[in-house]
Amino acid sequence: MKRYRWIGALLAMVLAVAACSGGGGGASSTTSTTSASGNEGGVTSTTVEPGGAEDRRGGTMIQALSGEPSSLNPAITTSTADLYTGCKIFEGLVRFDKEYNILPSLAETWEISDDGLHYTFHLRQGVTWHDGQPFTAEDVAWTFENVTSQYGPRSAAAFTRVSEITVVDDHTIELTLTEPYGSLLSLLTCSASAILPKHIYGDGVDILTHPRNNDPVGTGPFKFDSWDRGTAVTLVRNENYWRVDEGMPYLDRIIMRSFDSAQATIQALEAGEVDVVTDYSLDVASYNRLKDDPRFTGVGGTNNPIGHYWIFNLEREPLNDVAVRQALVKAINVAFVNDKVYFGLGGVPKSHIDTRLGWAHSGEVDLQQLYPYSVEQANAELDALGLTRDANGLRFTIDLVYFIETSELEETAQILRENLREIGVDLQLRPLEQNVAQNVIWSDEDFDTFLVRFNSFGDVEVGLRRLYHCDATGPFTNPGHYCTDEVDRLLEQGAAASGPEGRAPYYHELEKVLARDLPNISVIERPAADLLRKGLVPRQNSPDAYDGWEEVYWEQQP
Amino acid sequence: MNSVLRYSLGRAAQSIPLLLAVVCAAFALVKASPGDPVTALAGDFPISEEYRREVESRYGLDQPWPVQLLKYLGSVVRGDLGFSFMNNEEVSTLIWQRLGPTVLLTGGAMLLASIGGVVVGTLAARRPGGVVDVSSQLAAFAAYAMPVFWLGQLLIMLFAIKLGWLPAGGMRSLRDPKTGFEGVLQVGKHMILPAVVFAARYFAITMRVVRDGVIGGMDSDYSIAARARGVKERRILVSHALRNAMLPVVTILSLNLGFAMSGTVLIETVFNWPGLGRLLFDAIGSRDYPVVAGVFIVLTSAVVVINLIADILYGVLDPRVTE
Repeated sequence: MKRYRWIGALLAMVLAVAACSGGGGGASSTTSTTSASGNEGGVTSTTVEPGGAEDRRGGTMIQALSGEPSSLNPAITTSTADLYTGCKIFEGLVRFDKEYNILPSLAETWEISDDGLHYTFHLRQGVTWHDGQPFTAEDVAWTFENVTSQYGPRSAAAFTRVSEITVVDDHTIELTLTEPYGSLLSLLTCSASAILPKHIYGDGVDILTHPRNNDPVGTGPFKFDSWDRGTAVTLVRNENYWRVDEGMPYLDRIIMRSFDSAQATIQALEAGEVDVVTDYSLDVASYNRLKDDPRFTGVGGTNNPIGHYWIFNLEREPLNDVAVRQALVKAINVAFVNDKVYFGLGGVPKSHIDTRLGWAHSGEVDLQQLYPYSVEQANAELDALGLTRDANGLRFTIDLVYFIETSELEETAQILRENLREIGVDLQLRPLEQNVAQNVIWSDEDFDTFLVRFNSFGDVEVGLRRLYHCDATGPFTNPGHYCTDEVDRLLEQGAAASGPEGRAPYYHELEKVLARDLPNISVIERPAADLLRKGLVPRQNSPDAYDGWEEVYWEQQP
Repeated sequence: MNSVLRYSLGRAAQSIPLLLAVVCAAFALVKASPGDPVTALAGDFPISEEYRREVESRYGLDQPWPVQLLKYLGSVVRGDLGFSFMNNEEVSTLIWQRLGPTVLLTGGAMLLASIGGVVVGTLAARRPGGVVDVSSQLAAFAAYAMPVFWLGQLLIMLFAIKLGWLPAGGMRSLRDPKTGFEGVLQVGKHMILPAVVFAARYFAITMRVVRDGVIGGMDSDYSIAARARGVKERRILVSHALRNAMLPVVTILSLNLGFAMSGTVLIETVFNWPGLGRLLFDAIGSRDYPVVAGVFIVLTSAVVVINLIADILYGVLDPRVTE
């Protein structure tokens, strides 16, 4: 009998532990206290009729994230999970509209001197941080000096051109540059240079591991409420947001929910547990299937200028010969890639500058005209170059490295292999885990060709320079050793000029040079699309998924 | 009990060098894999040299590896599992937060599998070759053969999307979270699908072991003699056959729990369950060494402890072992 008491006690203990940690695990896994003014985000399930701003208020929106944010500070990261969450809490001096024109955000107006060396920003008055402290130029100066110039992944390089940051008064700040830089404004958005509060981060604690990164205070439309690790980050309305006289933000709460697999994300959307899936988390096949579904609204054509580039390693034979590259390009059926992999929803690339970059794209260069898809021509050209077929019908073998995590790259790679087989080129596929591939491409430089996604971030200088400039080294830069003085000069001139009218001529010239040299070819202008639950009115004027969420409202609660 | 106590302490002492080996193995495995955390941390944009050097020194990556290992062992002994750059949080805090959901799911699934296995196995054994027996064996075979993620997604599509009866994933309701007793019920509802899918193959194993054990027990000399004495069939079943079948069940349960620890990664990813499995999965992808090592240590220690408990339990149930 004694034995059974032992067993009974043991079992009871195990059950108790499991039950307690299950129920208690809920409360104890939020990592922080609620924001200073307490949790105002009670769920209001109002039936909202279309009408004035007051009628739009209310409701909760649940957005899917790929992965878990590592921190909620957008100024030190490029992780989309961090930025999508962080840029609802923080803001930059400016933001983009749908066409990548610059709109005011924390900076209301600005002047640029004629020589392009002095920028004066007039900051918005009456803006407060979520803890009530006033937002001033001191915060901007402190952030630029201590954070952006050192840790901003995209903007640090730009700030090497800034020689002086002057606080003129509480709401005016001046930047002095060593040379003109037309892209500076594009790098002052939240996703590149979010403004942090000096009174919180200025305590000397290392910013990269600062505890307030998990419990942040910003100026944005939504305040941090709680973080249930592994599940979701909850944000509530900032009642003192500077657009509050327009009634914004409309939503009571936004819940950013983490997912580790695309399957789980779409299943949650279909089961009604998620309201918004944005392009980074949305695979094209699911978008295609659900965009016309009555339960959802497909928002296509957000302008995020992402392409998949087939990049040649110019130090390898026979890829070092431009005539060979031209022949290879003619063998690729780009329209087929668009049809099969993207259900016809993407764009066929016209030049090396994505059409969605607006003014930078001239419309004068059409790669499909210069190098039309033609297997016969490609074969003829390779024959003429002396690269004859052997007994097996093969001319030469090259490899293709790509990240295994993206299924679209896998599908595209298969099509490329089939296309090249028809001209006697054996394309060996090397799908690698991203972490590993990065070392293979940029450390070992051991590849022939590389198929990878590149985001232009709305500006040639910001997003494309790293693909073509001679001094661009390190991960996610120029991996094929393409280097010419001509292109360097055009890139630098384009960067130094001001405004679209000033910069466009250099980029239009760049298009022609790249079309001639073919260091790479884009196989798709990837369609960027979001899926929203029916009844949720999407943002009207944002090119990507970072800002503008204060404009979203429930026209009709489901 | 004295002999049991001595036996237990002996087994516990044997576990310590085992745990030490586990920590070293965790460290070695992670170091051996290609890729590095700085690459992962940087995202898809070039990073500056200072940033890279900064991260490397924080992770101690600039030291020779024996130094790194010793430092790591030293801090583990003190209970400090390191800092996760990727999550901006102490590793021990991260693990503690995510431990509860994994224990809950694994415990619930094992309970389901064991109790279900014992009940169905016994029922099947009462009439070998009968309807219950044949159908449960078929079901068990199917459950064992089906890939977990396939079965999981199939059930999600049916019960969550088509019928809308159960949630598609997660541990808590985000739209309408409740606290207290209703909160527990909500968690329970979220647990149904993952626990069932998780339990499926362990149910199959347990059921077979119990069935075979009971049939064997019913056929033993002891049972034949008891029957001859006029003891009721049911009594023989419960107090003899079943009791003897429980011994292998204890062993099976501890083995199952061990396998479940590794299977938890798959279940948690399919059902978006916020446990250690998903934490490990993320950490591997981002080469977050401290987290990978930390979770590895926790999971394997759990297996070691579970096996220890199983050994002790076995010693209690079967006096022959401790003599």
